[in-house]
Amino acid sequence: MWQTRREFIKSTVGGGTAVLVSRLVPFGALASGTAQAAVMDPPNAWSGPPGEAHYRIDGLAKVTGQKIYARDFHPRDMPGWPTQYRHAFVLRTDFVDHLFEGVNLKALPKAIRPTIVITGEDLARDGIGVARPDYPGGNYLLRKGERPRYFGQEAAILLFDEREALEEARRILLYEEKGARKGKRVPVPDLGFYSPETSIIHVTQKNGDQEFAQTLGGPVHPSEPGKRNAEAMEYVEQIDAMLESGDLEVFQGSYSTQITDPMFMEPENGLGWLDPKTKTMHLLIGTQSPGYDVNSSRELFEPDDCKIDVDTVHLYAAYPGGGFGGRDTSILCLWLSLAAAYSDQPIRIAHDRFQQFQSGVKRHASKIDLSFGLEEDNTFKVIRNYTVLNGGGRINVSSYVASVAGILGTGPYNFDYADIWSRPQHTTAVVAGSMRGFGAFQSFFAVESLVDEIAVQKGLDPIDLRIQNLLKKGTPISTGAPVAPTGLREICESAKNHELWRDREILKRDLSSDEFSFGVGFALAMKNYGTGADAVMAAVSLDPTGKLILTTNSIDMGQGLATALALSTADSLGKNADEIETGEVALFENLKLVDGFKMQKDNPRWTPVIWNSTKASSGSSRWAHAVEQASQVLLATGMLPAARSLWGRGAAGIKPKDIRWKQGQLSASGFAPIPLRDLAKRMHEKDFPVSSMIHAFHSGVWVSADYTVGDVTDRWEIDALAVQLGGQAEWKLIDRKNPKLYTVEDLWMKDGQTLGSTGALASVMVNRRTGEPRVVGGVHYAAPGKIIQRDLVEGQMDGQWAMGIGHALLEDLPNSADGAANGTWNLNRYFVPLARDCAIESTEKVLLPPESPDAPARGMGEVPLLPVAPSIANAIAHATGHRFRSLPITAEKIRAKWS
Amino acid sequence: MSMIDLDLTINNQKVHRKKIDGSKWLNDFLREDLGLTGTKFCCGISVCRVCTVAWRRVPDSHWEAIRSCSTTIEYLNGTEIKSVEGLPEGNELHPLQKSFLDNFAFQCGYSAPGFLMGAYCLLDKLSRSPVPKADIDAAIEDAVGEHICRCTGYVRYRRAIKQVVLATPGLTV
Repeated sequence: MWQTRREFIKSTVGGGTAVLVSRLVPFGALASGTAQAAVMDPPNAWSGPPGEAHYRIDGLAKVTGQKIYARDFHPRDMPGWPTQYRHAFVLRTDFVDHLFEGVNLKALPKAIRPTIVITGEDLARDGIGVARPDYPGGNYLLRKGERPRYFGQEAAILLFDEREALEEARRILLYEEKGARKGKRVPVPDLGFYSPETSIIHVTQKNGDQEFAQTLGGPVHPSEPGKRNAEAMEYVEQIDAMLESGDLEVFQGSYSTQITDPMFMEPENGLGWLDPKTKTMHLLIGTQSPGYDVNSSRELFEPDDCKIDVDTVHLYAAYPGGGFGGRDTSILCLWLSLAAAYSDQPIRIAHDRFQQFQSGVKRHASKIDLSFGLEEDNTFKVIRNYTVLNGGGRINVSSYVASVAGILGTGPYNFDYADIWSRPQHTTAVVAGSMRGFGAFQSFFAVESLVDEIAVQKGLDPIDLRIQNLLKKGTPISTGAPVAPTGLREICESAKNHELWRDREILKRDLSSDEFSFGVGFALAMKNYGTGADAVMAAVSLDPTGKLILTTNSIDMGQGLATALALSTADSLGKNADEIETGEVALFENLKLVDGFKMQKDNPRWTPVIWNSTKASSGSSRWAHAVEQASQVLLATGMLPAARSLWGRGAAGIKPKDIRWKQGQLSASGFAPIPLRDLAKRMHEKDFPVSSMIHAFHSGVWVSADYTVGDVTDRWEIDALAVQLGGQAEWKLIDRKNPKLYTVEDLWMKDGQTLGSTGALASVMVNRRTGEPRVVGGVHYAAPGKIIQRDLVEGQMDGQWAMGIGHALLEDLPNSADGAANGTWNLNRYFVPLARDCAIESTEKVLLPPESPDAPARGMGEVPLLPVAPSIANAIAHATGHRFRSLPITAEKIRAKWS
Repeated sequence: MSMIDLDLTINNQKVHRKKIDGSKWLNDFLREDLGLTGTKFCCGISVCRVCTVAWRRVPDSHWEAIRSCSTTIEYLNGTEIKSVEGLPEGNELHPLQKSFLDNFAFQCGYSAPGFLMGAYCLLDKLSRSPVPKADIDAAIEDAVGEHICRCTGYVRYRRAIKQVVLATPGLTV
């Protein structure tokens, strides 16, 4: 049974419903799309020399407009599905202070009334279950007499026979007569906070030793009972006393960030069909988390008293048209499943942008109260960071977002005393969940704004103050784990010497005018890539002609993961993968893994977590590792033995370190080079391994174990291995020996974090009359370590520079009845940056070189976002002389300060 | 609802429909009726330009960029449309498509067809009214400056389009 991807919540799986995930379209030269596309572009044209791409492996499909996104598919496109289908519309409420009194469809002319109306009463009557990991609240549709728990809570699913009828009905129910009937007014209670919250108490002694830390005994909750919690509370009080003692120079600020929408370009869509013959729930979704989606659907129909019979859930993972976290644990899978369960035909949900704003997960708004205590020499001594994140009406991943906000709540600085309290608040707001930056965005806006403010108040160079207090590489972060990243100092020094910073006062004088005020700001940041409990899977397979096929359960949502992974076979196997199949899960059932938080020492199939969704910028680090390991196994156990057999008796001593790939041929000193095609043929003829499939787990370090394949024993950084021998279809499991394993519980002790550094210089012009701020230039820094394909890394930085500008200056959703859930939000009101907002011609990118030959590839999908907004805020402060502690910084807010 | 007899040329193919709802959006007609899903849908209110296609009234007239999400087929009746599916020339990718690939211009790719068609109309315009090289950036801004992309930050789209403009004879003076 395949588990959910949530790391720290154990999903207790029961019942016998099978789940299956399939990829719709493999990406690669021969399978990238239509016959026309294959003709236009020769096979493997995307692929450059080993380890390099001419263009994205998915590029041809995208640039020719092929059918790859969920929105492109209809039931008629799905093999074996009926072609007739219904169109589903999820009716949502826009109030929380009245009771819901049922669905009101009277305003709809008869011709456009829905064929089927699914209500909360239907779900209760039929024993629909609960998708526990991320939507544990259940009650997915309101029942009469209930108060909507949040703006946009779902009231009914309406199924229409005609799309046009749905469109007209939606318009009437939104603008003319609301479809969710309001009952009597009721008070809205204080809903408190979601659990768990994150508390981090970190105390360092004068000699540098850690006195109290999460890594020295696990997480704490100072306000709860227990000896260690009481001890933590003593430190909390000590920190309070230090901040109030007058011995330290104390600086405080309260910061807030807004609700934002991921605004990926493709609104969420999907198909569903419950096949009555096979009792299979078929779903098609563009998702980052196929594992979550398929298991959530399963859980809906798993209760013993559920009247809807589902034996198998089969998910087709379509290509997401953007993600940014917003397609991780999206609730769409539940609506698709429920709509399909009550329809005798397939159903389709195709959100328009209004509905997407209503229903898509959002970035948490935040309020952060921050206090710094400085010693006389400006050393940061004490920090208190109390963060409240608006978690909205369903918990989703709010606790994890709060955790990351907390872990990064000290910024990249050393404090001897840290008291961090990060809490996800249960509110009536739209559901907030995963989004690029994942809590760190909020933390760094606050920390980097206050650091800048302190420096300016004290007449110090803000970068110098940062350098003085930086975490040194490998020193403890807030949790106590010694994982401070490389690059922080280098970024500071590079920025300090950049003319934009060095000459900022001259530039301000020269470029400011009666009309505009110019300013420059800097911000520094770091963030974890990977989750701290990363489970990854990959399989590489060589066919008899030498064609290399790569399979992974990860998803490319545009970040370039498919391309980067296809390049990651090159070091070991001498060529890039010819095809990559992403989002595939069923194949990996051959590993027969079982998961569990407690270690099962004697069970060679045990692993802490079987799979993750694609998130936390883990593609180029974690999944690339999986591909590299699978490739190394294939080289050592299949290719090298085949090569030795071709080279003859004298080659018996040839080891992996003795071989090289040159122009597609395997060579060793003193032996004739062997073309890959000949090797592949020999591997298949002589029953050597031709495919390898691995699972690996990372929590700060990779698990490892010995594996014996044939007469080859090697130690690999994986915890499960299967190989396929030439001429055989079945996978042969290889038991691990002498494993070095970790449990999820180990994470608190070892921390498991890996971090990357980033920074930004931003220059702004503020219109003195209108108050409008514009970014006019900048320098964007990152320390990516090993770069797999520079184009992909730079592209990530460009996109995050733009998103940071949007969050800093443009994007905002009210936390009220007028917010996203009211169904009237679209891009005419929610402003995302255009090219002209991004100063693209005057913004540099600086990628620090790898710090060592074996530097890891660091995930760049989120890290570079973090310094952009605070650098702009600091630049506006430089330009205007006023601090803006609330995002977005609008012309209106600036005018208000000036007035 | 006004029922019309539709007569369109789409990607060099004649398309006829008897008694079709003329108020249907072109985007729906392309995607839902014809299965030409290369043209994307995003905001549906004519802001983001993801749904851009090229349109001309008569053969050999200017290609103009229009937003298919908010243009009815009745309005377009009798005219010609080119969508991303019609961009390749024979078995060759269009130079814009090649440049988008070579520059890693897109990421998720959802906005790429709109950028391609907006840029295609720009090339057509420049072929009739070349601009000085110094004005290329402004011309690109004019053509695709309102297009929204959430992934790329626009840098490589601009670069890719500019390269094609500079490499195509007759577009600059």
